[in-house]
Amino acid sequence: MNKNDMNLLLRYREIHKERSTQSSPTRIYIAVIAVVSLLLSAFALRLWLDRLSLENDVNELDAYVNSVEVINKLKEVEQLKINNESLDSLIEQTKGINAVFASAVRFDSEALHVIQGARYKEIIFDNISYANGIIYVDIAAPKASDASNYVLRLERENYFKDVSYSGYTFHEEDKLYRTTIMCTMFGGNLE
Amino acid sequence: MTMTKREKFLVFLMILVGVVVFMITIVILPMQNKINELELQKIDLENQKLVIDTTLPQLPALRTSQENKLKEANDELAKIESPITAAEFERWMLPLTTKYDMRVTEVTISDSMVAEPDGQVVLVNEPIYGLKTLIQGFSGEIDEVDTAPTSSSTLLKMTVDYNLLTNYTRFKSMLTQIRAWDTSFFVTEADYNFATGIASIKVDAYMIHKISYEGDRTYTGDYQATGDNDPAGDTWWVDDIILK
Repeated sequence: MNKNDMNLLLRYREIHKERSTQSSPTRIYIAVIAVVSLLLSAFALRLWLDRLSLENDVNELDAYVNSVEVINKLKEVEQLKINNESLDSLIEQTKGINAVFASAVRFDSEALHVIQGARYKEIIFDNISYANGIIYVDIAAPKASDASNYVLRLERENYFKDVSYSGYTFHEEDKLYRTTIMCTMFGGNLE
Repeated sequence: MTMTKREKFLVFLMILVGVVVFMITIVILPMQNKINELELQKIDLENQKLVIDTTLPQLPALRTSQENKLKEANDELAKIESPITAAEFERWMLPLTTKYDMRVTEVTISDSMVAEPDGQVVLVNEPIYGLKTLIQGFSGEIDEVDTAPTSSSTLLKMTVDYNLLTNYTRFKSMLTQIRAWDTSFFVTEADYNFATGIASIKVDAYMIHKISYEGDRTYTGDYQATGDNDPAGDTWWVDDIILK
């Protein structure tokens, strides 16, 4: 009897030991799953917090960048830049035009006074005309030397850029030599 | 029902993989993608902010610059007359023909057209030849090259041609008066015939639009032009110069 009892006790212990060894891996598995889940959840939580922080930053930046006041100021800056570029071009072109006008020939009575002043009594004016910077003086005079004398007188005035003529002809009907003298004028600020 | 160790392990493995896959695909990856997207957005916005922060401080300087440039542009534009019509141009000329008692026989006025400015400057340069170059090289004297400014910018031009009966003194006086306008109106052609007393004066009137300018001449009321080339003689005003 004692022998049987001993067997039952041993048997019980064996079964209990078996059960203990059976439940141990399950616990480990559950623990592993729980730890992994926890780690992943913690990581996810961290990502969520990062996302919240970023969203906050982005919203703040977006509010600044797209604020009506900033947009209006940026538009004004762009418009001012365009205006300044246009004005630069306008000024440059207008200055170019004004430089041409400042140096332009201004035909007036002063040149005619010089032409008149250099004349001597034998020289007769037929016609005086001006075109494109040159004064054309049609003269008549009794001697062949009168044209060259008059041209040299005009040259000595140093008023014109150039004084020239291209010969003369004798007119039998009034016994006068006729020629056209060309006086090239200086421009406004080129004298 | 009892499971063997192997079965338990397989179940564990499945659950573990399931949990990991679920967390990564459903939670972590979408969140990471969103974070990446937000980071890119943030970088973009930060760049925009940087541009804004460097741009906005320019505003006062740009405003001042525009004011100064506008003033300079107005000053330059003021040297050129504003666009006027043929009838308005007559208000410049007819007071002169009246003042100098000239008989206006014919007037031709062109339409305004777009043109480049022409200063009517004739360039006079000495001819250059080989020996002259050698001589100048020896003497150290070099001919100055005659130049005149040009501009390819365009503006409006109206050409007005007046034919007049007058005497030479009055003709000269009128030229002096036109010169005294000192504006963008230029005598480009003129002629006086001593035998007939017929004079002609052609004026190129250059004009340009303005930004904001108050100094233009106004053309109001009627003007009664007289002038019949009275041979009675010149009066005190002949040859006077009235500066603008």
